[in-house]
Amino acid sequence: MLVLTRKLNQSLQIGENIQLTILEVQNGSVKIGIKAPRNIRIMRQEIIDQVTEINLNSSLNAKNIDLNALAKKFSK
Amino acid sequence: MTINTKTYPEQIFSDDTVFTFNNGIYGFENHHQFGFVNQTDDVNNPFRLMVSVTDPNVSFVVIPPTSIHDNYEIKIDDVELHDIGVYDDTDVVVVCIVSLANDSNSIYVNLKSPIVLSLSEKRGKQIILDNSPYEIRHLVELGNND
Repeated sequence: MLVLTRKLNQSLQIGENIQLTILEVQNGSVKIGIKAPRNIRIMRQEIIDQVTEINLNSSLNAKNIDLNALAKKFSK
Repeated sequence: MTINTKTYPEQIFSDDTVFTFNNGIYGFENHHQFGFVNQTDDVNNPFRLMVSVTDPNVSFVVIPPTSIHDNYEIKIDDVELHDIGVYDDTDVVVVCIVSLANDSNSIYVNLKSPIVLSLSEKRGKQIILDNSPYEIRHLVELGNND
């Protein structure tokens, strides 16, 4: 991981097309502005982690699911 | 693009149709090919098993969201759809991953990060609807659906 320190209103450029700017620093939170092309997905890490975790759980569950029984219960 | 999801077109979800997922799905980024198998004898059964061709031990129970949620309408950025070759809302099928709940008469359905498939290109990806009200664990009671 590259670690840099920025002050309020300073920016970083990532690659050729991505710019991060520190917009506000307050109470342990940092507001970050990001300029990037639309095809670059930007997402909070915690949501990605949540989805990853539930995918892992779901794949473990799948071995224990009897699809016939599930389909029967569903259509009652 | 706003998408009203639909159910499986029968001819696409024949057991041997394989979809290419360039980036896999979250947690399974190295699985690039998935098939969707109806493991029951009932053609009207909404559940399918999404199975990795690379490793058939990796599988997920999926269901179209319209089977459990009447108004499931999602806005997906066109750029995300172009990524799998979807340019038209008639070309796309959406399914959601199922997980077990503590109660054996309920299941959880992940409405927040559905699997999106292009019928024409046989490609797919998992997307996260970060700004939607839908839940990662949407509880569905079995037996209340018709």
